[in-house]
Amino acid sequence: MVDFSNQPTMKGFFAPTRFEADVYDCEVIGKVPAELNGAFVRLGGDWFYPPKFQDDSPFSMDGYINMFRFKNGIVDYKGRWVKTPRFKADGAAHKQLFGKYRNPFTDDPSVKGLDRSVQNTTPLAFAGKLFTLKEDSLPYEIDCNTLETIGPYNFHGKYRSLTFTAHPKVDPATGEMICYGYEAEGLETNDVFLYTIDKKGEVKRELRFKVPYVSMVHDISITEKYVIIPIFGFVSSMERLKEGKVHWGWDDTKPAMVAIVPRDGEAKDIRWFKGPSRATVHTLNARDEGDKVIFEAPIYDSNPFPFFPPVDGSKWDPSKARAYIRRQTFNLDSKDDGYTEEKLFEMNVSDLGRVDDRYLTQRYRYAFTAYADKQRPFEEWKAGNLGGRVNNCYGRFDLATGKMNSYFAGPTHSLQEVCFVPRKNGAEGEGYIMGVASNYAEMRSELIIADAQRLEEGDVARVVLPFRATAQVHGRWMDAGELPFA
Amino acid sequence: MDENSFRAAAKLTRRTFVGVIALGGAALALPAGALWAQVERAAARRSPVVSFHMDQPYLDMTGTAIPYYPPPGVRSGESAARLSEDLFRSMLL
Repeated sequence: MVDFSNQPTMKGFFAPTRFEADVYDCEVIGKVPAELNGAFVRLGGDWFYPPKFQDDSPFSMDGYINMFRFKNGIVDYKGRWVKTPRFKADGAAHKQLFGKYRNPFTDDPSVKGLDRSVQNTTPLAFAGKLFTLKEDSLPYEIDCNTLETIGPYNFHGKYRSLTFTAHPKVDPATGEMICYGYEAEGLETNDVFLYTIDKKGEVKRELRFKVPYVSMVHDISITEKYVIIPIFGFVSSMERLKEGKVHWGWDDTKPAMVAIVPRDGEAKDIRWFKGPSRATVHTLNARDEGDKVIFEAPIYDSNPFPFFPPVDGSKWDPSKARAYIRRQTFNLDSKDDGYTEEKLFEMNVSDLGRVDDRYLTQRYRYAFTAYADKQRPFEEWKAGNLGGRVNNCYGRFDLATGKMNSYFAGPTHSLQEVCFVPRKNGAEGEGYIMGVASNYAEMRSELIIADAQRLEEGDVARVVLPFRATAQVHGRWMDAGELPFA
Repeated sequence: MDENSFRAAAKLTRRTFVGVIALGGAALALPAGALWAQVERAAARRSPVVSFHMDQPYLDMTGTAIPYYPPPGVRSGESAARLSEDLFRSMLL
């Protein structure tokens, strides 16, 4: 028996969907630009079986990959579960066998030693293959046409970390992928293995080093010469796991630390910088300027996740779970281990920001992300008491002028992560933004496509699904040339 | 004021007044402390509440977060089959 009735967060729009889907020739409001040839691929999760613990992290949801395939102005949708060993084991037992987020001590004994990964974070197209990524395990290869799961992938045995980040970076100049695994040698180890993988998928370089404390290393940034690796207040320990707690807790006394790692250097060449407590979960971009590294990201004041509570027993503070687009400057010519930080915009934003990826490592002008505009209407009687609490706008943030252009999704909508799709041979910022809106009133999901240079004019097309798509963590545009699409 | 009450009032010097206040404060302190402890215990016993953060509901175990109330009726996933035709249509409008 599958019973979600005692899961208080899984009601209404957020009730599990539990099905796989194919929708051919989707309903479209407006006109899909014919120049879009590829797929918007989303990865996220849904609970196929109820969690063992009501307060577990949503990061434990079963992975679900889905794509909007664009060709000749027509859009088809396909969604499939990522068929991990965990998903299959649960299915065979007809119940959830796995316990709290990244805590095997809370599992049913029958699954001891099995890959616990749910593969629910980021889709990746690289070296002609489609992958799902989850930072606690290896990537899983997925068939880009059927979305069926092929299995874990270790780059011909040359990728030796047990884990693989959800946020590798591909250098647009060389096509190389910079990627890493943390807790690389197993649960609670303080090892990071950093890799350079060429555009054909061959591992070219491995660098092993240790972090000052075991912490979440969720995202990085790259310049032409360096890799920027932030770690911050999330802590973990074997004792904590044996007590049956979720993997991460928040320790406000831990400084934010940032490693500046030379891309062609050794562990001894790494510079560690230290700053006040922050949470840099996702990044925008970075660049070299002389002896300085300039790094920009939507950075939280403190712990953004209520399901990873403070270790001192205090209450999670939503007023500090706000991200601001900030610039941090690291002076490599200085012996000081501090850095400077400035807020580039005074408004708080979603930390799921994107740039035109062709400008990674370079000076760039535009960042895109979602934000909550409390001045816009929200019809609470149709959509619940969420006015001011949901991201209802996408913004284009001009780092050169400090101005922001805005797209509004609607009075019963919240927006998931934005994605930027560049126009072929276009200048920076020329192209489309894409992202899925949850329409709480109509109980359906809508893919937004808007001209990135004319956000105020609204969407050029809206692809309507006749149901609620599973929750997305990250979505990526994959051009037809990147994958062997049928 | 009669003579007796006048004499009683005359005996209430500033020193005796301060003494009475101090004694009264001490007498009140114990119940107030006990009351505060009760408030804290009650807060600790609060039921978890469904709240909303990052476009997702979450379970706030402290029970102190702003609750999330989804819209009523079919839009909250309630079965439409149980509703009368009139009620169903009223919810769609």
